[in-house]
Amino acid sequence: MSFAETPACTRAHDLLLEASLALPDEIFLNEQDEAFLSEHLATCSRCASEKRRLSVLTTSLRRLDTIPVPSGLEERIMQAVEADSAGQATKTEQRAATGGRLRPLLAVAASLLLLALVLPSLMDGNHPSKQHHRSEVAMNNPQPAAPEAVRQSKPQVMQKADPATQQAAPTREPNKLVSPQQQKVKVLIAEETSPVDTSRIASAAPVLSQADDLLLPMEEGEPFGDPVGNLVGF
Amino acid sequence: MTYTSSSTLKPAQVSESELLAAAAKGDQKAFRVLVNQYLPLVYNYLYRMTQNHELSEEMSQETFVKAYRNLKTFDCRRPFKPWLLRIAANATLSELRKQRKVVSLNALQEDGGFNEMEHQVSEDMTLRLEQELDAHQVQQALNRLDEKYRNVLLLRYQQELSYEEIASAMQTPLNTVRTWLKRGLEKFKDTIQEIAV
Repeated sequence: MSFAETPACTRAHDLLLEASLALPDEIFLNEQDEAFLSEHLATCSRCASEKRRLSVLTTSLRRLDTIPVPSGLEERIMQAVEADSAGQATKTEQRAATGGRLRPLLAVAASLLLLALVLPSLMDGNHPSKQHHRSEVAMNNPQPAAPEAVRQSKPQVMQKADPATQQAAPTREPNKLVSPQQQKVKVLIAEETSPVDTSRIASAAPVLSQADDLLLPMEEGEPFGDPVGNLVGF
Repeated sequence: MTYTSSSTLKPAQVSESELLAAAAKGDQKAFRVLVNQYLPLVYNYLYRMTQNHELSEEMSQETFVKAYRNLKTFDCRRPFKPWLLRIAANATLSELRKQRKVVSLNALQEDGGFNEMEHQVSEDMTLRLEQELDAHQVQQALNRLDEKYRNVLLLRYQQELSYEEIASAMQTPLNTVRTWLKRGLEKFKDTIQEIAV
């Protein structure tokens, strides 16, 4: 129902809403507004009727029956509280205990991991001394530089490591001797420099639009806080 | 603090802030007194929001467990009720967003459905509002409201929280609460009219 009958009705409607939102012991309207409202309601039957309707609505909202609490719920809550606090305490103790005990083991594990990461690059010839040797070879054989350098330097290393692989080495493709990391870099560079594949972009478009649909719409005035029990700043 | 069980402790004997301080230090008996006092309020609020006893029970439990866990961060001089209802409101909103079962009045309005219905409501029908509404109709109308409007109306009329307390409970600016309350009441009135048709 629209209350834009007259400007006085609109004002009266606003004041009626304000007054309806007041709790029993609260006074929402000032004397001036009160006077205007009672004067208007005396002459406008429509607004007087609206006042009665709002009064019924707010009374109904206040008088909603009390729902009885299920029996035993208080007890179950206390059991949950107890279990939760016991769990929290155990977690803290465990964290303290395992943290202390595992610290030397974690240090060893971290060192091994670091070694595992560094070792392959050393074996592949990324060591500074080998790089120096490779640059010398490259200077002597400028055409083609990188594959030749790898081909000439690598078999020597393999020969020392395992004579059985020596025969297989010359039949390999030059890029097979490149380490996996180097291979990955090569692929990335190739992708970066290759022309844009527009068909791939076109095929991705429907997927992107579906992903858009999955985003929840932001509601008007929606708070940005954590919806689940963020108690910070209260 | 000298009490042996919740039944021997009367609210007049120990103030709420003392109970809260004791509970924050891990005194579960003190916390039980608070649970006993606030459970009906929390349970009613949750039931009015979800219309599901099982869910309300689960969420009441979750609310009190979270409250107990976070009591250390709570300033015991502040009122406990809005803080507790804020935890309950957060749990409810999160759950209702998951479910998205409730038909939003806003959605109806966007479809044009609401405006059509609005026109169908005759002056005669609005007169029915002047009679006493039954609880079922009120609950039905509340269920059809957008979560935020239902939430503010329940916090205002059922829990009798001040505007400031509602703003705090819903982590929403005061002016937004004021707007939501007015709009909520208007929409509630319109929905009741629809139901009366």
